[in-house]
Amino acid sequence: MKAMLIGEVVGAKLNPSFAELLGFAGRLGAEVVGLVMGDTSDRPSFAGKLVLAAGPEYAPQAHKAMVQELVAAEKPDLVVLVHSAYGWDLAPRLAVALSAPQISEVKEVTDGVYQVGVCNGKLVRQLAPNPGLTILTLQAGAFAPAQESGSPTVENKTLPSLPGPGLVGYKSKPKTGVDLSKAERIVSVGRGIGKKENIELARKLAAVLKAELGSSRPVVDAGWIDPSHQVGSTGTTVAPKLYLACGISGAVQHLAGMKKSELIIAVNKDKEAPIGEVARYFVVADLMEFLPALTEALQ
Amino acid sequence: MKILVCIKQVADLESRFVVPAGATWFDEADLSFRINEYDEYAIEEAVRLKESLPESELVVLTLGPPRAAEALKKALAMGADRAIHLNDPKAQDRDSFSVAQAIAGAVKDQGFDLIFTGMQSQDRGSGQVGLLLSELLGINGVSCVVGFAKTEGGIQVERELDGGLRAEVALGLPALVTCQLGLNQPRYPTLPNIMKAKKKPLETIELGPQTAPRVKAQGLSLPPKRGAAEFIEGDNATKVAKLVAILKEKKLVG
Repeated sequence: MKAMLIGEVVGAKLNPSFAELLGFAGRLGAEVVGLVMGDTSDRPSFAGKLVLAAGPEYAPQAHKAMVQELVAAEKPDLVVLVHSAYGWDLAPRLAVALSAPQISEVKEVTDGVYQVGVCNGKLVRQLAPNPGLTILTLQAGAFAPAQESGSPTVENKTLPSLPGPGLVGYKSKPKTGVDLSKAERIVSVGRGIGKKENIELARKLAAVLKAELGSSRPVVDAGWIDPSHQVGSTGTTVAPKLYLACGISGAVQHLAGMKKSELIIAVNKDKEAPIGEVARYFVVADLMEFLPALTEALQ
Repeated sequence: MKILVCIKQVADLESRFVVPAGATWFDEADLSFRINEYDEYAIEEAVRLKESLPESELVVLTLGPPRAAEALKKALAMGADRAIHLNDPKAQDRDSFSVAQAIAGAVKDQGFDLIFTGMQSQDRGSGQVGLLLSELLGINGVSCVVGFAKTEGGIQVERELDGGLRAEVALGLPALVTCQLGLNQPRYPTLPNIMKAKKKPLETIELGPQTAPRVKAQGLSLPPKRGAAEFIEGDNATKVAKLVAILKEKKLVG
């Protein structure tokens, strides 16, 4: 078994999630060929071979061509990326170029059968690819990062220059509003809050609990709250002492940003909401009734 | 400009899903269906572009069973000019590649300049079909888009990366864009537009038998209960009292 692990470079830095790819390969006992494309001086440590391809860090046609070249030379059984914006963007291109089956956001594997969450994590699908090379993207955080050791043999290459989508630059979301990353307590609202005006109910509870106000993505997208309040992999990652999730169903991207909180309490009408996977307590309640009553009791 | 938007109809995710023994997909009886949320952003962006370019045509396409025609009607009411339904009563048995291949076959000779899709479906969530389609068509493609602008001779988009960072990417036409939530504010169809949509053309194309998928579905199950969430139920006062007691015990309130 041989696995080609493709790292992600953003802003000349290698994403530390490369260690999760190594952890996955370790679980399978696979021989590792690492591939890092882009200009970075970061070097992962592991036992195996590392190919460093200099050039732009986002240039999908060039990256695809480099993977094709390397797959022809190395003949791996698996090509593995993290299911981030980078893996998401590159993997389907590889599936077409290499005529290979692709399985997205894998969270577990047993005897060549891959498990992926569907319907917002309410169900799990078991998928088996056709024999031969398979392209995988791994759910962020699903596989324990490897304790890296050893130094790979390094081969240097240069990415070809090909027409196609090209990186113009980066920009950050404007840093205004709250900084949730240091909050000790967070009362967070999800789509279940119903409408913008109802957020006041959570704001009052947060004030009584001396907590900051957080939110899930749909609340931001609906324009009900400033984006600085968004918790999750594309917002702020938090780990407060108390995370009170009000009307948040628990999309994977949200869970990734808050599951390390010390105490998670969910308030939701839907007992089967995936937030129950990470919550310690789950209050089955209507927010309109429960939040004002809780606020009053705590005053 | 010729614009295509590809959408999918999915089950309401608030549903209680029932998986019959040995089945690889859930039972659709008694469920309600709607347009995949990501695709609503794709439709909205396509409609805005069409409105800014008067000489353009906007086509909406779906691959799905007969029920999926409803999703097309809503897209027509949002502003698409005509609709194509790739009808397959067994659409759920297809893998992403098979879906992309069927769509590519139907649109490859139609000369679309821009194609919009959602970045993933809410049900399967594989995030593959859009870019598989652009690769099969041999055109530029870009995913996870939260900002879109037409430029001289092409487009410039913003891709959403982790931790609030965005990458600005430029590409030439023809191109395919997969849309992330928050790209815009999808409109609600107005009643006059719903009435007008009934007169817009909706073409149904029956898809032939499926070829073997690259990825075989072996099963579908409920997730293992990892968490040990303790449920707090009862009348409102009881629930409040229980939660207050917990917060006191954890010294989170005085």
